[in-house]
Amino acid sequence: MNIQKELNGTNLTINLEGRLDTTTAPQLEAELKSDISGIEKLIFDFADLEYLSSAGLRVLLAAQKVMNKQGSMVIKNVNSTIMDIFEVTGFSGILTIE
Amino acid sequence: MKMSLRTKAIFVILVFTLVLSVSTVLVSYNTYTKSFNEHYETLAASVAKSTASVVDVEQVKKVKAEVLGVYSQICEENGGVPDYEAFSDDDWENYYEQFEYITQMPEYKSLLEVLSKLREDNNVVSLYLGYSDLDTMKDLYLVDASAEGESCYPGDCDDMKEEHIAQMKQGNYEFPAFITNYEEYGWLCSASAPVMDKDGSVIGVALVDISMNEIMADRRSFLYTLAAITIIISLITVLLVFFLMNRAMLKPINKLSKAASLFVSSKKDNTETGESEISRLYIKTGEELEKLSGSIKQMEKDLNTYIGELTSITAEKERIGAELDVAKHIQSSMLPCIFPAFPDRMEFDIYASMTTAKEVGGDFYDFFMVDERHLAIVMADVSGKGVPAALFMVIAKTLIKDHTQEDRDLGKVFTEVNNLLCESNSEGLFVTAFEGVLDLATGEFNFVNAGHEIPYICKKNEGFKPYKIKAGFVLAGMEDMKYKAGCLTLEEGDKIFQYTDGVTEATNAANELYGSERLNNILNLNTDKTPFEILQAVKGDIDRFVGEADQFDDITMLCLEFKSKMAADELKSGCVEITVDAVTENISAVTELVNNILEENGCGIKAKTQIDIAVDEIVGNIANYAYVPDAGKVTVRADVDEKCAVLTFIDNGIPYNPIENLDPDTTLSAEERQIGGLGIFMVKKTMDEVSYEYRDGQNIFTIKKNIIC
Repeated sequence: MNIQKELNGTNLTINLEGRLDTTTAPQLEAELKSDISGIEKLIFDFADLEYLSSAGLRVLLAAQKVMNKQGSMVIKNVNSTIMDIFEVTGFSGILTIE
Repeated sequence: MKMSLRTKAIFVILVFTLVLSVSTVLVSYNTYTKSFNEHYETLAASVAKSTASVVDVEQVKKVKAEVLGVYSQICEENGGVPDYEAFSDDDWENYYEQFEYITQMPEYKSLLEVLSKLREDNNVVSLYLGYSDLDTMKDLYLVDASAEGESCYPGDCDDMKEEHIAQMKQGNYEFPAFITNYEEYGWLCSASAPVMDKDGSVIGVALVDISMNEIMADRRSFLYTLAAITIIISLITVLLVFFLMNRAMLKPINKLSKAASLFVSSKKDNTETGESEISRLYIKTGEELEKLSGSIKQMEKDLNTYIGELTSITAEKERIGAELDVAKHIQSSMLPCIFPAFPDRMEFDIYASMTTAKEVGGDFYDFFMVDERHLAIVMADVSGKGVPAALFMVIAKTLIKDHTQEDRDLGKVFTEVNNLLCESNSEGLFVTAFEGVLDLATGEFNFVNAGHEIPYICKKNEGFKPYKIKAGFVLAGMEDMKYKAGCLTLEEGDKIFQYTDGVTEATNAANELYGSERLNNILNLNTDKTPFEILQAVKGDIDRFVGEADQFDDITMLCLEFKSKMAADELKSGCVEITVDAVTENISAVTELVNNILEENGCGIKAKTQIDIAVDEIVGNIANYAYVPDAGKVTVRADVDEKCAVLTFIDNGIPYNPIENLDPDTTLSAEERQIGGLGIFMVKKTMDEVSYEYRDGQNIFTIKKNIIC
């Protein structure tokens, strides 16, 4: 999985490419941990993400919890597979999906 | 045995004693008879001599003159000697009357008295004086002093004996005594002595007859007594010898014989007491027989030791033989031997056979599906024979099969196998091997040859031809050898025949080799046959060639026919399995494998993604929780066709049924949500079926997903 970050003031856009699964989720978790402080708007671009697993959901949930305190979080370009996952797991009610 | 020793001995002793007795009796009897005869002859002669000397010569002269006078007168009157034979009793009476007066003469009486006295004193039958008249050839009686009634009158006469006449004419009247046996008189010993006057002229003869009847009767009784005694002594001797022999020889010999003949049976009966018939023998004769008995006892001991050793050696041999049989059985059962081997595969037909020689050998063939569309065949021959070759064969076979994997270059397979075999080759064995892998979809046949016989390829309408390929070095010969795979393409209907040198080097009684020419001929006579029929034909041809000769080497053959290419739709279906260490780093390898087979079967993107997520969740769970705090393995099996994918996850970890987990509440807010159980929840939601069972210490979790787009 490739992680591309774009910092624009307090806006952080993260492009994920590949799969966000058990193996790669810890990577994203580590990136976020170091970068999330002071961010007011966190944008995930899932255009190139094939899918994510529960490990990915866990990271997203943790990010959502942080951002609920310090700003907002948006997920963009979600494909149908991932959308299904969000819906099945009830994450579509928690996350802001554009 | 025609005659027992006892019978022989008795026979010999009997004959011996009989001969001894008869000769003893004969010799004794003869000696006895001779000495008595001599005694009597001497006695008769001395009586005759003493009579001749005792009688008064003048008286004899007188009586002789009177008798001779009367006799001469009778002869004169008769005109010759009267015919006494024709005399009647009256004639005799007249004849004797003319001599009657002589008996009244004092000279005659005196002589008769002397003679009678001598006869009585000497116990003589008859004693008389006679005169031998040479003119008329008659012996005339002068005075006869025989017992009463037997005496002859003077003038009585007998014919002279012819043999005496000549001697007497010479003036020699000395006759040896002789013994006669007349019925009338019985046994008599007669002797005579001349009565001579002072001038030495013979005037008469004194004659003596001594009866030997008594002594002859004695002689018979002596003979009988002697024979009886000899027989009794002989019988006693025979019995004694027999008894002694029986006691000293026959009994011990029979004892020995019985004990020896019971050696085996008594050994069986007395295995527990340990006392055999022979060891119980008690023979104390103090000579050769005791020595023999001792030798037999020693022999028994030695035999027992030897039998013991032999028994244990035989048992050991039997055990080794039985184990070798088992080994041979295991070895042959390692080779695929159930035909048809792949009854559901229409693309090819294969048959292989191995006829083992007496010993376990090192030949082997093998064939197996590398995957759904690749068939591998192996033909190899380990150098040498026996257990080392068989063990090495097992290693080689296992290594080759193990290293032959999907999409693996055969050159690399042999290179690796060679290095591994070199490591475990302390005995300096080597293997010639041929391996080929046929792609059933395309007919591409990859092969590698390590010093083995080249295969025969039968192209359609061309017949079997040896396919010349470059052989690499034998396996296990040298480390780091590089092997290079070759390639050819088989068309539908083509055949491959591969074999070991046991085929071409089969030898007949004339020590001729079967050879490749004969093999070529028989193969080409059977180009249209099935692999089974081809191998049968070759085997039959070899058997005819070899005849009664022994088989020295394994005869191993394999024939593969490529019948038709694999249909395209069959290519998609498949089943893969992977076993990896249960760590999250290995998830991608599993996912990749599963994706490949899904793609091959035309699985849609969405279903594939969902299956991928499921693999990620399930394997991730096993990696993180199943073996904590230890490590373990996970096996993933994917059975996919164009409709459906079934994935099975197997681990040996803590029993855990994920289906029983309560589903998370998906309506809660971000702050309230718990992350646990979400993965399994997703799997349950996205898959068509999930099931779990715990069996044989394994967690078996199965998911099923319909993959039709």
